[in-house]
Amino acid sequence: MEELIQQLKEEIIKALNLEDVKPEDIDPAAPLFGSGLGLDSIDALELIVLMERKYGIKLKDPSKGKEVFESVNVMADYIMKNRTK
Amino acid sequence: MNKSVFIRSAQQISFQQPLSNEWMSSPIFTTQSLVKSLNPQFKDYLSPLEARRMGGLQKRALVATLKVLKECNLEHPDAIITGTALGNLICTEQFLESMIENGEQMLSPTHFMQSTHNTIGSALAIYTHNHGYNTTYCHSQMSFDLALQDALMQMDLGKISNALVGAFEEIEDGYFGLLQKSGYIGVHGMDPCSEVTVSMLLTSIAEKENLCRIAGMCICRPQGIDDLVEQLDAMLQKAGANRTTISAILSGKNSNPSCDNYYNELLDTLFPKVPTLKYKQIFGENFTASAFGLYCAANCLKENYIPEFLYDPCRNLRCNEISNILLVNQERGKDYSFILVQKI
Amino acid sequence: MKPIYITGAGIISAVGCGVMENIESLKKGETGIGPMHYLRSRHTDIPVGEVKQTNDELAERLNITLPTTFGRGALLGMVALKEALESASILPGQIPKRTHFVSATTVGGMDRRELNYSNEKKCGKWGAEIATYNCGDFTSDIAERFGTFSSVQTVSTACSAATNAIITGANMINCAIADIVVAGGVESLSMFHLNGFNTLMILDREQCKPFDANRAGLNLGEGAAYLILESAESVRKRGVTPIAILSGWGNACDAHHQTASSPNGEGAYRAMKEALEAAGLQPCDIDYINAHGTGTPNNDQSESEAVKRLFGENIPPLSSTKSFTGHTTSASGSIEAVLSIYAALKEQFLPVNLNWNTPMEEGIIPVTSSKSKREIAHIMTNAFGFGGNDSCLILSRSNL
Repeated sequence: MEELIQQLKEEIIKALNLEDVKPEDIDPAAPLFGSGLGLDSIDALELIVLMERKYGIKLKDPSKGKEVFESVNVMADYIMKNRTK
Repeated sequence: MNKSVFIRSAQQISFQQPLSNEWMSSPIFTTQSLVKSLNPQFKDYLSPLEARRMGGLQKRALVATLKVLKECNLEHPDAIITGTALGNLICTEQFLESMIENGEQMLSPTHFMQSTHNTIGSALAIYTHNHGYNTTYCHSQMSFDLALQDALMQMDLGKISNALVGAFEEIEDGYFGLLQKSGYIGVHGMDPCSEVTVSMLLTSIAEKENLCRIAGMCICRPQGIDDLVEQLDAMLQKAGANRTTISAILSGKNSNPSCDNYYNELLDTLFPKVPTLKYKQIFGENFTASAFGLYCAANCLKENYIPEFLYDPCRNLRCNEISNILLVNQERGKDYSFILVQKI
Repeated sequence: MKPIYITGAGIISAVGCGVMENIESLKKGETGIGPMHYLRSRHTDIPVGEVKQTNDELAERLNITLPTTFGRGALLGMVALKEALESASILPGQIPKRTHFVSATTVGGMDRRELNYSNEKKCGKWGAEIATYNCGDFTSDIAERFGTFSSVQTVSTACSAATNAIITGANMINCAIADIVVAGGVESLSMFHLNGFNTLMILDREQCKPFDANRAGLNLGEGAAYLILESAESVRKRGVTPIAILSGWGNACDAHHQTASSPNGEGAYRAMKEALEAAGLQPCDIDYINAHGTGTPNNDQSESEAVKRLFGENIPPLSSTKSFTGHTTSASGSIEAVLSIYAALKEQFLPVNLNWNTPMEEGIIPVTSSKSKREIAHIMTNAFGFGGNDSCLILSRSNL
């Protein structure tokens, strides 16, 4: 799990092009959207692409994304349960 | 055009020293056929979070615009009007390539969003919280000239009293290869292919900082040389000028014979005794490079000085006095744009 | 500001080729949105509003020898332009002086390029020309089929582009740069566009349901439409009869987000308000609104808010004809202007909003009956684009 969280942080930084953010800056329990990193709806769509590309998980409903992307911890948990690669 | 319109401030980012007019005294020459822009320090202007979805072109557009607005001490221009033939080309090419290669799957929404031509102009509005008139022209070599015409129209109609007008173009290697194969660019001996970022503020207010006055312009697709002369003369007359009162002509010649022939024919017929200048040897060629021409003319008029390297070597005439400059831009001998700028 | 007369129009969309067919479909309530038939894409589960003709069939309509080298968008543009010119008594090859062409597109010739993409680096000049065929080349091809316009221009502001092309045309006439401007837009379906909207996850897998609580996105469409804009003097000189008046227009930027509209519809509100003021009209003078109404959760909420802010309790009958044509993006502004002029102003019926069942919370209730309670004299059409490029037109009955 720790390893997945670390990998996920790196993937998020890459996918969203968060130049000045380092993995250790992201609190895995903190909300990804709203406050925190200052992400928006397009970032959510990029994360949906990331989920499919990296973990083989297809999220068809963007509103489902809101739940899954609550925090890095929630994302990692969802990936553990649903990954196909 | 009935009202006075001035260029209050203009900035460029190119392969010359960015955001500066150092090119007037220390121009950078190149023998390469493709030269990318020299980027300023984006971090001085934009936070990485703000810039996370922006490509290089969009960052350049924003930085040049922010600098212009700062120089004018203006927060909100009345209008933002953009000319770009290809918009964020790099994102468009990336989206297209991954769409074909990934079989229409797992594509980046950011690349698509950026591929839309108006992304640059609207990003300028979003960044500066500007609700004013906002539009984008994408018409090949005339894109910038059309954007300028729109601004002049709305100033003429009294709808706005200033406008931010920009020209933005980027290039990537694969697309350069295609443009080269099509014969547009990269022809042996031709001025380099470059990237364009020019942002300028037009104003109807006379201020001592203004660079020059735009006295008239005309964009046309003439039905023949007579029609072209008629439209050009009408524009000059309206501006209180005529073909004999022109101090210098700044043309879009790019050392590609298939392009320059149209200019030579026109200039030899209509302006045989007028000194001619060109700018693409130092700013390069790309669809909206005509904006470099206007930027260049504005600086020459402001400084009351024409650097020697701007003179077109094919004509051995020099200016005694510069009171105005006529800019000529054309595409394939089909579409023409003339802009008359005057010293203040 | 002087009135701008509209003296002709041409249209092709998913609901028909030509004004007559389009208006008939609106009257009958027949949508043009359905399963993908002409577009080549793997996303066959996505319904689209296709023009029901192959490229060859479109070319034949124009007497173009087959096989044609023109792409689908150029052909659609030519069909609409031909009808527009004919309806205003302008003959091909005899375009009057001081007549300009302002056309909108986003995708331009991308349909041809994506089909040829895997070959383009290998094949020579011809392949490179298809690859580098830009929006300006595209517009020029459409224009040159019919002669020499005094200038040819391309506007590209995403989904509001055709409306902005009309605004540019109107300003050119007001500035006495032009006597006549043929203005509008064209967009063909392409893999590029479909996949692009698909990445944004705003495509409904069923028929779009504008202003419905259960709306789930838009259906992409394709088509073209042009209006002939003309000065009063030119109308008199040519002895033509206007079909409508372009009495006002507005352009504002939402300045909120690259793809999303602001919750209070600031840009839309400003564009509509500016258009009303330019026309010298009050909100109560508007008899019908052809809404942008894409069917996405975000647009319809934001547009509802903007309309409520401007019109208060007295919202005029409103509908989205995108439930017929699909969202024709850069062509939608002119397609919807033509539909509204002929349906509402000329034939005095309200195009209904198909697929509407459940009111949105705090949303607008669109018209579901085509009968207007009062005479329709002034109408409003909205077009909002990515980046918040929002524009609005006011069209009025002509008394000439």
